[in-house]
Amino acid sequence: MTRKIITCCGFSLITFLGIWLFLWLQCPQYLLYHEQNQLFLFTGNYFANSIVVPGGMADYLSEFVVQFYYVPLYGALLTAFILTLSQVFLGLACRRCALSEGAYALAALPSILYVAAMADENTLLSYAMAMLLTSLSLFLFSLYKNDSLLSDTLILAIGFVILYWLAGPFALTFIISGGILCRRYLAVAIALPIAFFIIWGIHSLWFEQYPLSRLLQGINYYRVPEVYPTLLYVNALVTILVSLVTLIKNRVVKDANVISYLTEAAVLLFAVVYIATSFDKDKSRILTYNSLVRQGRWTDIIEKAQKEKPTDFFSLQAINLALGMTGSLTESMFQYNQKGAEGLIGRDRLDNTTQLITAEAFYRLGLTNIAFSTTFDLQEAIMNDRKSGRLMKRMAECMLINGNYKVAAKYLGILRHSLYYADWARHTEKLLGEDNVVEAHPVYGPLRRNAFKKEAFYDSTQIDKILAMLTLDSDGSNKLAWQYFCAAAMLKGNLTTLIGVYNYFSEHHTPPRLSRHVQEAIAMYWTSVHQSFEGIPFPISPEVQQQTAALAQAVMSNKNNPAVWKSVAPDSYGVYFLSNALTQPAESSPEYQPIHE
Amino acid sequence: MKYKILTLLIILFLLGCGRTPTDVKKVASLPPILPDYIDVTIPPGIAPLNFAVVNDKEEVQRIDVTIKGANGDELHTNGKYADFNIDKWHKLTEENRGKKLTVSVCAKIAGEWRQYDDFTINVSPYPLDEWGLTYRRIAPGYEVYSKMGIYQRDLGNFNEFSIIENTMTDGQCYNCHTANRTNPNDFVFHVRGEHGSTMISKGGDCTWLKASNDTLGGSMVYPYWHPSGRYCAFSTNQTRQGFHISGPKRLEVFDLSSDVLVYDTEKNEILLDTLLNTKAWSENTPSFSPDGKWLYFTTCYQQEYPLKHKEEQYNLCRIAFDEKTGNFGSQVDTIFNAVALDKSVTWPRPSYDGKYILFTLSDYGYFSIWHKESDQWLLNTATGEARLAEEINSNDADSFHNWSDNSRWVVFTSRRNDGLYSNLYLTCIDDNGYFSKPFLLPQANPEEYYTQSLYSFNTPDFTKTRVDFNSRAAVDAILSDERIPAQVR
Repeated sequence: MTRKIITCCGFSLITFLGIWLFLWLQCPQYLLYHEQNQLFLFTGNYFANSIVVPGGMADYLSEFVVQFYYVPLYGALLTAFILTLSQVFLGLACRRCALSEGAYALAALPSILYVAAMADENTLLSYAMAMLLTSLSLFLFSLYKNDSLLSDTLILAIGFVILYWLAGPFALTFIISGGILCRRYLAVAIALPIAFFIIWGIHSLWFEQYPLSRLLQGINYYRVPEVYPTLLYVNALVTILVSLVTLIKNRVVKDANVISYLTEAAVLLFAVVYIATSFDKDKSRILTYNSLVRQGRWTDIIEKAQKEKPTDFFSLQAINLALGMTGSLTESMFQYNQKGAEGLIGRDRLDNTTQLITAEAFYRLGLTNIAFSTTFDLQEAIMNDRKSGRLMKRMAECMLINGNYKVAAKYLGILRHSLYYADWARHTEKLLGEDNVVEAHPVYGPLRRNAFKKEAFYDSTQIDKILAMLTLDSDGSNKLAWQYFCAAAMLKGNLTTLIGVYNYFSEHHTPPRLSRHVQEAIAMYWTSVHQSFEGIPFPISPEVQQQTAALAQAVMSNKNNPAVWKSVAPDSYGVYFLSNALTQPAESSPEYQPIHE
Repeated sequence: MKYKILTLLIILFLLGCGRTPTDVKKVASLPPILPDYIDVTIPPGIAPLNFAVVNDKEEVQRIDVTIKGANGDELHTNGKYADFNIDKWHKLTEENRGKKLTVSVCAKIAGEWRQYDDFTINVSPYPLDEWGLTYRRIAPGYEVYSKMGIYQRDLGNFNEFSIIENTMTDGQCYNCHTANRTNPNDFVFHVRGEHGSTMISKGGDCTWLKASNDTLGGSMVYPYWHPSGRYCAFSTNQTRQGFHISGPKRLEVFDLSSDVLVYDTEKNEILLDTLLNTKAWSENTPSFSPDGKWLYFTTCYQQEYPLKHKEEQYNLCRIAFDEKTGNFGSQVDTIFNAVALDKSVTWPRPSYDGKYILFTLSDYGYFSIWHKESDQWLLNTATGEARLAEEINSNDADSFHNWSDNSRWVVFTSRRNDGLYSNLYLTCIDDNGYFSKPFLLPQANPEEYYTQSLYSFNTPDFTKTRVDFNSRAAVDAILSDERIPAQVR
């Protein structure tokens, strides 16, 4: 008996440690993504609004846990705890029904499938919480012993109603698994139609604002309402199958211990293989860049980019922002696979992710109004109608910089009710109405001073011109804007504007230092209309002159052999420019594909 | 036994300690209450004007409020905020029609009770006969909206009910819910997006029209009913948005083109007129006079957008309309020349008694909610004179409005609270054509509600009775995409 208990405990401990370490070390970007798509508040209203829908308690508890994803170590720990506990209760319920030893280990399958389902960034923890509440209910039900069909049916039906309200439609598995565990198949046959009738009744009476399908699939198990991944159905089915396994022992299995160990080993092996193959590398990379930008880890972004050289716009925007923030955008951007101005500033997309880096760039550049509207729309695009701590914080900052203190106060007042943003909100509230303090602030002060000042409408296709105006507005003191302008002009091939703005600065202010790529661009432009660099009025280094001349020569003699002329001036603007002009673009890595816009 | 009584008395004393004002210090100022209900005028039977005392520097621990009627009757509340009993409030306001209520406020701040100067709330002699309000609630976003819907609110209490929400159709956008003179038996609303349509509901029968009509060159938006209930006027705005790069302006809405039309609900016909469908001009925001003989609309010289968006300025005009034939007059009259003032008119709403036209004036354009300078103006139809309704305007956008059926009450949107989120204000007009100080739509816990709400209220209107709308059937109809094409006469 003791050995059995030790084995079970050991198995659960391994499950717990495995999930915890995996989520903490391999998936912090997923956890941070979940955290940024909700804002848990310690208010009565938040609680009341959560629990008024079926499954609301699971939503509330899961969102309470997800707020700890802000620190992935804690978030992973709590998630592992929930999933392990779910396995323990389901396993104990199966064990108490006295049949198969292997069932305890098999009870980990739903939790394992859930971890695999987390590879879809829109799978919500509410589903795992529903699993936990259901397995707890099954365990409690297994403690209760009754010989009466009527009382079992009643308990299953009443238990379902309560559980449905707390956990949502995953509660249907309570009826089926509960019925199987107590061998009351007739009770299942009676209680199940009653359950569907109850859901239909709840929908008709109180929840007509939701389609019936959402009450059957779970209002908040998945972030995008009109989509429901198959894996979530499979998970519920597996929970039922696990309870069915308890029927097997009496007929087939003889050596319980061997079967038990084999099952545990098989489950763990399945977990390792299945979870590892479930996570998509491209999506994982995109979410990683998102989390690194959020944390301002610019050097880490550059280090990561040097290893991967991604080509999707989202990653490129993150890399370019990191280069800009470290002052090296126009020094080294062509070391990466640039593919136009959209890799710098994204075009309008209406999902909750694609424009995250662009919004960050707008903010850091001083395009505060556009940063606010983009961030506002990003928050509004969270498909389960939640708000976002990360985005609301940014919206408050934009309003502070713009001097709209009343709206900033509103956002700060809301953030004060959160866990991880409360201290920041209280501290920032001291800036409200204090123009002098804001202007002296190390972050907000320069952003207010460097803000775009002319009246104009935003147009993503004119981003190079907007950045030129932003640079000119700040008399060159907005270094990030200067870098972004040069980069945008180079990526769009708009070298005339680039030279024009440089000349303006040369005439009216101190001319900005020409970084390597800008020199390369000007040299390219010069050689397109001049035979030599003699008399060039720009400070182009001899090295760049030489490289440009060599590149021009190489292209002339090896026009159809890009590998040759690309090797003459690797990672230079010239190669980027000529590659776009002369060759087909290289194959791109996949873009972030929102499930819904 | 006596020890028990003594213990009980001590417990009761401790429980009561600090809850009722003692050692009150007089403060020679009006209480800083949120919402500002000081000296407002309310209709009898309105929901209680619950409020909180706000203090930026110190926490307000408790407040004690007493309201006295002119006849000496009282209403008392004590708590974190003033939370009045609804039935007693109704009784008090009904018994004090046309009289003043005197409000005494004590607040416990930093352990000290402070007694502020009393203020008054005026109970209007004019009833607000409508059951409640309808409005759209939506985040004041740009291109994306999360949860939104059309709601109705019982004005006698704090109950809000959804008419239709976009959770029913996975993100559809609903707008411009418009009833005929506050009667919810006839109403129209527009669905945007993939399953777009214009729905006309008459006595419970719904007609789902195609959202846009190629002949019209746009959708049927900004509806207004003819008093007969047979016709409904629309404009056909081909709307575009522009986003300001620099503050404080954020958003502009302008039309590439727009005309005005009248839809005949009996014949399923669209009535057009060359005077309302000009190429060089944009006709917009129509409304009928209460006698049904005139169609008001705004018109501006079509500009090149977005370059000349500031030159988009609308005048208020009218054209005769014959309800028997569905014919329009042969002449357009300018009722208010806003262009001469270098301004622009939008949302003309005639009072149902025919005395006034309330409209919004801003520097340019017609989407006034995004114009900080937009204000309410009142035009006297007898004299033709218009005046700035200073008594209800604010430093921020004051915009869309509608009249109650007895033309004594007006509901309008305003961003005066914070400059971004629009809220609903109600005001009463007196016999001389002056409005009372507007009051914010009451909420059960208004401080919490308005500081935490991330929604804007827009297109408000009164509703005589609760809207009885089968939203499930409506959603089925929306998703079915079965639409009736309206015929152009």
